[in-house]
Amino acid sequence: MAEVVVKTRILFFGRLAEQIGREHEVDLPETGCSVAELRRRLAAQGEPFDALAAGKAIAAVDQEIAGEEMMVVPGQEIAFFSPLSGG
Amino acid sequence: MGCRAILATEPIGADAELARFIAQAEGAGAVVSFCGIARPASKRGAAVSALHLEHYPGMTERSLQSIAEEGARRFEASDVLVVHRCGTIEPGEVIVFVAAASPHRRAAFEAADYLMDRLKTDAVFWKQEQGVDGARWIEPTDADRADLARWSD
Repeated sequence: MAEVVVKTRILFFGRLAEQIGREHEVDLPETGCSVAELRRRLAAQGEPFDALAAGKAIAAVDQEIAGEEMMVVPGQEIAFFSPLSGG
Repeated sequence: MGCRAILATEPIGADAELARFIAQAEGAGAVVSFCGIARPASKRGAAVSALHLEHYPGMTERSLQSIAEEGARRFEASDVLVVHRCGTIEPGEVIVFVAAASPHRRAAFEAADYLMDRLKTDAVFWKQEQGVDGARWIEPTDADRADLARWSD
């Protein structure tokens, strides 16, 4: 059976936004997938998304830092960003 | 306890912030404040024409508030204020202002020190130095991470 996907907007910040753009639409399984799986799917699109595979990119779901095992579903706000540097 | 965090889009007037903070820190015996200022040169000595601080609307404000609250809680500071700039910052302008009030000086010094170490690594910002030879992203250094590790339980 074909996977049902929903077009979902992913946000990028910092150096990643410069490489990829501020946002990008991705096909997310309707039933959701892990952050790790989403990262793999994006990175598989090749340059410039391969920057996400490096592991330095931090994921956030609904504006909270998310671990690799966390499940994301369409409708959530998903972002990837470079290491933080404030102060 | 008064605990405030502000994301500032305009230059920070540190003297006015400090005066207001002292006026409202009723009953405190000590106030410690710190200003982080945009440097005119990078670590390698290249001239910096401006700093740009990108932020994530919503998440950034909450990260500042959470750091301010944790600083107040850990050191039993009666009042804490964090004001952090975003956007384009000229050399010499204040990037960040923190203040902590407590009954005695030690807790206020420690709270301000802690707030700055947390802000360097955990506040949701991305900092870019702009110079004549282009722009360069700044990431936390090993020294920043070592500073933060001083506070781990």
